[in-house]
Amino acid sequence: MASYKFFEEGRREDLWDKHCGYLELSIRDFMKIQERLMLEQLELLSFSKIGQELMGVSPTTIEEFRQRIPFTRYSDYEEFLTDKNEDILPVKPYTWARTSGRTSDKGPKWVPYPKAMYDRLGDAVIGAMIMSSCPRPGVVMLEQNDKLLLATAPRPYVSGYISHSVRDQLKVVFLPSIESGEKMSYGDRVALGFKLAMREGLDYFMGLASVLARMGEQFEQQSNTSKPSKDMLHPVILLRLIRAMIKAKVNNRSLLPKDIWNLKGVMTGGTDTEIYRDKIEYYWGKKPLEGYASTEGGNMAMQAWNAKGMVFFPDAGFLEFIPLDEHKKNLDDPDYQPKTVLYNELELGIYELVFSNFYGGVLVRYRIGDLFEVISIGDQELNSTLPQLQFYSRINDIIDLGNIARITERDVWKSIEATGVAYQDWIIRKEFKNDKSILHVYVELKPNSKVEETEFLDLLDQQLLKLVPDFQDYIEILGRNPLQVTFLKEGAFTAYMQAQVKAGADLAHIKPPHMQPSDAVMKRLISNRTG
Amino acid sequence: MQLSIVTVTPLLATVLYGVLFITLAVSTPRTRLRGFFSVYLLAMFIWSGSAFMVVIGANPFLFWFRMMLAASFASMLAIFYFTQTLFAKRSAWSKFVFAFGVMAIGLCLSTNWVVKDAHLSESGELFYQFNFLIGFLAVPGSALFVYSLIELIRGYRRSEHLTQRNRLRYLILGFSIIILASSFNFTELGKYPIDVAAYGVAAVLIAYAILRHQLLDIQIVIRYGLLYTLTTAIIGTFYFIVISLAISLVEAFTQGKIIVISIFVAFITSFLIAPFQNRLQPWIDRLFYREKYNAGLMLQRLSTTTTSLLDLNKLSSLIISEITQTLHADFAIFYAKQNENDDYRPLAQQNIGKQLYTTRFRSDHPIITWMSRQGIIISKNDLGTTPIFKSLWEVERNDLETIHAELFVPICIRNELVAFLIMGPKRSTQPYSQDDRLLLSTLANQTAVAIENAELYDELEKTFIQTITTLANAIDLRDTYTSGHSQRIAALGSETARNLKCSPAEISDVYWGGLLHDIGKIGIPDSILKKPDKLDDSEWEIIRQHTVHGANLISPIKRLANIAPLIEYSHERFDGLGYPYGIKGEEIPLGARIIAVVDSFSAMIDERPYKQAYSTGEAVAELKKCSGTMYDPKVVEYFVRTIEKTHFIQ
Repeated sequence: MASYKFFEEGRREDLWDKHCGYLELSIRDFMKIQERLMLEQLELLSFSKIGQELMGVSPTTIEEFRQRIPFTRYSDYEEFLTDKNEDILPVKPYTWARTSGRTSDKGPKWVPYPKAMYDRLGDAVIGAMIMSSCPRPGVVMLEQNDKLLLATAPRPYVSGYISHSVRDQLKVVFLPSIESGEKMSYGDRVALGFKLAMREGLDYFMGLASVLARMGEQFEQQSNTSKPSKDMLHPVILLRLIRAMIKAKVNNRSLLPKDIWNLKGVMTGGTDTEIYRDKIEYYWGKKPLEGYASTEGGNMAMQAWNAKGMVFFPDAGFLEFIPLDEHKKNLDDPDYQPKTVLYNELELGIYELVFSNFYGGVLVRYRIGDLFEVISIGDQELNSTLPQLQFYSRINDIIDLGNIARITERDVWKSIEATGVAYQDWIIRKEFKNDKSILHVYVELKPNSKVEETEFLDLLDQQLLKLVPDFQDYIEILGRNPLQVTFLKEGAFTAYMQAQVKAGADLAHIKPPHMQPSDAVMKRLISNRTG
Repeated sequence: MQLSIVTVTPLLATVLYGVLFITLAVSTPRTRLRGFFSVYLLAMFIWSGSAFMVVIGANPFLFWFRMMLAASFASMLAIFYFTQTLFAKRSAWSKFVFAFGVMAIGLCLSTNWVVKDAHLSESGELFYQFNFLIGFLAVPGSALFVYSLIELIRGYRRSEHLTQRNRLRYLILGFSIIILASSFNFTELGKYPIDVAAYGVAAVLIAYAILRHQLLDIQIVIRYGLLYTLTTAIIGTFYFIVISLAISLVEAFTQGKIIVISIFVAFITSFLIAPFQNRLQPWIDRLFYREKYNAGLMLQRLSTTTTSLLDLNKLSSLIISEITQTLHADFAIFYAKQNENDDYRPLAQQNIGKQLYTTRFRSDHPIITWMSRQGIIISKNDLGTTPIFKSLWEVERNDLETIHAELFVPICIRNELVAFLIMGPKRSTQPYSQDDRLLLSTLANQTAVAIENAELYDELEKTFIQTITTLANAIDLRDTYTSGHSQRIAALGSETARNLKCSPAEISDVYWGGLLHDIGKIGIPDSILKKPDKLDDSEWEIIRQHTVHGANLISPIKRLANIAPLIEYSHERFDGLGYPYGIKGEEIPLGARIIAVVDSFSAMIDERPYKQAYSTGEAVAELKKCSGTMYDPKVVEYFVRTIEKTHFIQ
């Protein structure tokens, strides 16, 4: 039954159970769901050509499946999926979603989405909307016709299908409408969304945490200098602004977005959620809930209402985890088949995620290349006994410092944020200079930032040491501090991105990667180097 | 200010709406839906407050009267947005509705275009005069209200969820009362605060529906209310008439006399009514609680039948037949677990149409595991909300959709799911109520006891058969006959009895009689029983007593008492020359005559130390030869047919 029917029938408790009830599953029931859906998947695969090619004779038990079937990467599927040949698939796909192709050599990854997998996209997001806005467990604040600003990529990216799947199941108002939004550039769409929100109001935001944080910053900076426009004469907008200004005045501070909109919930994905969590709460009045999704697996995990660890959905896919030591053994020896543990066998520590699609998807024992950290087993506050995880890093984004310390994107980002220096963007690379390895951070500061490179280096070093204590050990063993900072010229990142857009780059390639960008990327950024 | 019904009613309504408004305003979560309803309550608070000010003649009088009208428009507006939010409507003209509402309120309060004049006359009667704009505002306003009511009724019809239907029912009831009461304002009754009182009643009904999620079935509430109201009215009228008559008869005018007479009449009538009430009760039950009454009767019927019914097939058929009739269900299927670690299979089904439902439920099916663990009824709705049912396979979901199952009712014995019922939708398309579920749970518990009895009986039967078979084998082993002699007699004998159109009980008796016909030989010494030579007279005398010994041995066992005569007379001859009593013809029980024929046949075709085995043809010829002397001719005839039919004769 579509979720909007629950509203019409006043079944708010049932809506909670449907979308958030998994949190209170016992680990036994969680595994029961996993096992049954995997057995169904094996059956479906056994009748398909792709299943026969990948697995030979289909395993009949989970144990056999884990013992006999090798891990896969997207390259194992390329020959089957690139041409979108539907005859070889276990279930006729409802749609095909694509990734940016960042980790693939042959263009974007195309992943078939059977109807049930597509429906799950919306299911999970509705759950996230409910949890991001609930004052206490079981209370559903989500209402029909709530306004949702989706600052995500359009179809055929999976995030585009998420909005469609949500709309199939729930009567929410997208700002702007999905149809018109899909025809716009990302920036225009978000700008129009906020403009419409001035009139219509805004209940939920879903997208990148950095967008919300930037919006908040801009609001604060411009609230005293912005000039009245004719749009403000609209009675609803005028009323909204007057109310917001009174709120800001009462609190004796600049006008913030939370004065204008009374957001019910904020949902974000990606590493930056944790970086900007406090900022978003300050600007928007709501703590963002972090989710984990991928084109290959759809929505897989979500923070619960208390915004602590993420809990995986039991029907997201068959979950296996490679413990860090096994993962390392495999890095050292690519022929080594690392052992996996299941969700009920997780302990505190870092694991590589491996998953298999359910519902007639095609990916089997798929190594997506993401690491997770188990931060607790169960959460009393949630009345949950399920393992709680947080995204640790993409495997390729870890900078390994002589097997002594590991620096992740989040570590660097958090450290830069903690310096308190206003910056535009940054990147980090492990480089070699005069046969010595250095950890080189390139930063573009905001125009109003008045800080010297050496001063910033000191600040960053202090923060990084605080966050990654192993870094100190590395310095001691090395006998020197490998950290270096270089300021990029003002507009370096903007110029890079504009050039990328002009060149028709894929959405995920418009921004340079934070971690270990290639020499080619560096060259173009450095060409805009200051001084 | 003088307190009267006219002043107290709006005052009470004001207090009521005020309390409700505050309750809703402070309660969480603060959703838009609640927000709109809060506005409605606030508007009604203002309306009834203004009505109170009007009836007490407070100044400025015209302002309070206009405020009443403005609050009416505000309440219509709030209800409109409330229904729009409830059903997620985004009406294109909702902006115009808002503009109309704001304009109506503004015009009411600030101009005399709507209300020209309003005042209390010297006699305290309310006098008011509307202006030209009233029609332009009142008609669309009322239409808005009616439209909201229609939307609610549509939503009610669409909804399949009992709680929501109840909630909507309260809303519809409340709004209908308001519309009805408002119409009194255009009649002579308009001078009484009927509308205020009705608004108060509506407030209670509506707020109750909003604030409570788990509502009682309103049908029951109304029926109870109706019943009590009727009963009270009848009794009240009866007392009034009787007491009035008594007072007029004895011409009592003083207060003391009236009280004494009233008490006296009350005592007398209560004594007179008591027996009458007992007779009236079943009639009331039937009239007001037909479904409950039928359900009660069904449980009563089943409780007497199921305890004595030990066949699970018959039991399941009976149960689903009764339950589909009582609950007016489209269909019902009774699933049972046949063996340990086995799937659940349909044992009986009713009203499925021509197609027989054969799908099995694996023991690891999520519905099975959930019912086993929880032991509670699962509804179709639960399948979409309870997380464990995420593990349902697509094919299982399709199966469930195919049969349109509404409820799954577990039948457990000591926490083990032994069977379950699948209930189809009700023919009325109404959802199953809490009462229905309670009934099904009670029935499931009752059925569990019956199944347990049947299982125990089955177990006992199996033990009995095993014991008897072992005993028969032991006898065969003692004798020099080939093993399986007794089983052969049991099988051929019961088959002959069946061909002779004997009753099932008689066939069963012949079977067990055949199996145990030689049990008396247990007391015969081996020296006689296994003697290779011919027996002398005294030895024959001992042998001849084995039938009596056998009967004596068996008759104290209650379950076998019926077959004792069959053993006792199994060596009697049709012409009366047999033993032990020499009775003849039909004096010998039919079962014994059958056993006699089959036993002789079996003895003839067996090889003995002192004789060669007959061929079956020779044995049949011998039987026919002795038919009418040693054996009952009819039995011989049917026995020969039996062995021909069973291909005993090659």
